[in-house]
Amino acid sequence: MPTTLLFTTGTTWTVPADWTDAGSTIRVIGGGGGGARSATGTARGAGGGGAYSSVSAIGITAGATVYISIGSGGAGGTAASSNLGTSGGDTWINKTTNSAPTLAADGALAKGGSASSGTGAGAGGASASGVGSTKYSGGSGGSGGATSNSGGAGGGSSGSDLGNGFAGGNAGTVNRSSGAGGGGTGGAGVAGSTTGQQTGGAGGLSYSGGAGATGGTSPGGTGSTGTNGAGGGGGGSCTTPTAGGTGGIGGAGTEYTVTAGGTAGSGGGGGGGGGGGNGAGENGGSGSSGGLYGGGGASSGGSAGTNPNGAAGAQGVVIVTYNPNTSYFFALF
Amino acid sequence: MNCAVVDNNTMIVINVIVADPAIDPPPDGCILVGLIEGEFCDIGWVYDPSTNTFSNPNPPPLEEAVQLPVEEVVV
Repeated sequence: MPTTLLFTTGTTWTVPADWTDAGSTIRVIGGGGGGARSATGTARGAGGGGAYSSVSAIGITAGATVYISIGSGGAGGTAASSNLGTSGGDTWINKTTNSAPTLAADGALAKGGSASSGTGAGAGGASASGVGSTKYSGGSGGSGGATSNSGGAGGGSSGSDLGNGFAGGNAGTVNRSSGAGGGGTGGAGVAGSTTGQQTGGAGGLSYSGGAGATGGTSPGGTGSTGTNGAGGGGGGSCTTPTAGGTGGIGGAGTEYTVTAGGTAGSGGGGGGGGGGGNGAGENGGSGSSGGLYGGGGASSGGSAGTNPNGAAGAQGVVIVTYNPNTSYFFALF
Repeated sequence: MNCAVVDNNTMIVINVIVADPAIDPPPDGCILVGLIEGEFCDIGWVYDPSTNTFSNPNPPPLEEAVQLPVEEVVV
C-alpha cells in the first residue's frame, strides 16, 4: 500500500529509509490569494486559487535532504492595507538546491494565486510559470461589483490533478445584491444576484462533481461551507436592519488519503459576503476564506456602513506518495 | 507562522511561506523574516532590516471616492 506524506510547514525534508523512487509522485499546490475589503460601498475582487504541479520518479534517494517551501495563503484586505489583500506564496520542492526549481528533473513549483488589485479579479496561479511534468493553473477570483453596495465576489479554486481550477463568481451588480459563490475544483461559482435582497450564489462543484455549497438566504443568511473542494456559498443580501450574510468557507480537498491520518487535496474558493445597503444596520457581509489547500479568499460585500475585511486565501501544500520498500522493513528484523 | 523570504542582496521579498524562522533554514541567498499577526507583506515588497518593516515600492493608485446614494429618511 502506498505511503502518502503531507507537508504544510517547514523548509527541508529527510527522505525516509523505506523510500522507493519508482512509482513516486510529488504534488505541490500554491497558496491562494487574499480577497479584498470593500470600500466606498463597492465590493472589490476576490483572490485567485493556487496552481498545481506534479512530478514523478525524479531520482530522489533514501536519506537525502530535499528542500521544500510551502506558500502561505494571502491575507485578506483591511483598511490598513488600502483594502487590498496579498498574493498567495509559491510552493516548491527541489531535490538539488535550496531554491525554487527551474527544471522538472529537480522538482516542482506551483505559483500562488494573486490578490485583487481593486475591482478586478485576482488571477489564479499560472501554470506557465510553474515547473513540473503536469501543471495546471488556479482559478481566478470573481470580479468586484459594478455599483455601490454590491455583494462580494467568490474566491477561485486551486488547480488539481483534474485540471485548471475554476473561477469564483463575480460580485453582485446592484444595491443589496447577494454574495457570489466560490469556485470549486469541479466547476465555477455562481455570480451574485442582479436584483436586490436575494439568496447568495452557490459554490462551484466539488472534486468528485458533487454540488457546491448553497448560498445564504436573504436577509443576512450565511452561505454553507463547501465539501471535497467545492466552493463556499455566497452570503445572502441585507435588509434593514440586518447586515449582509457571511459567505461560506471553501471546501477542503479530500482526494488524497494521508498515511498519518486524514485527507488532503485541492481547495475550493470562499464565498463572497452579502451586499449591504444605505440604511441603518445594512452593513456588508464578510467574505470567507479559501479551502485547504490553495483556495482563494473572497471579498466582502459593500455598503454605506461598516465594510468587513476581505478573507484570507488558504495556504499551499506538498503531498508525496511512494511505494515503501518492504525489503527494508524485513531487513530490520 | 507566515514568513517572508527576503533576497539577501536586494532585500526584496521573493516569496511568503509557512515556516518557523527559529528552526527552518531559509532558501539559499535569502533570510526568513517572521510576520506578526495582521502584518501585510507581498511578493515584490522591500524589507528594511533596520526597522524590521516592509514597504510596497509600487503602491496601488488611490481610487476616486464614490458618492453613495442617500436614502430618504421619513421621520
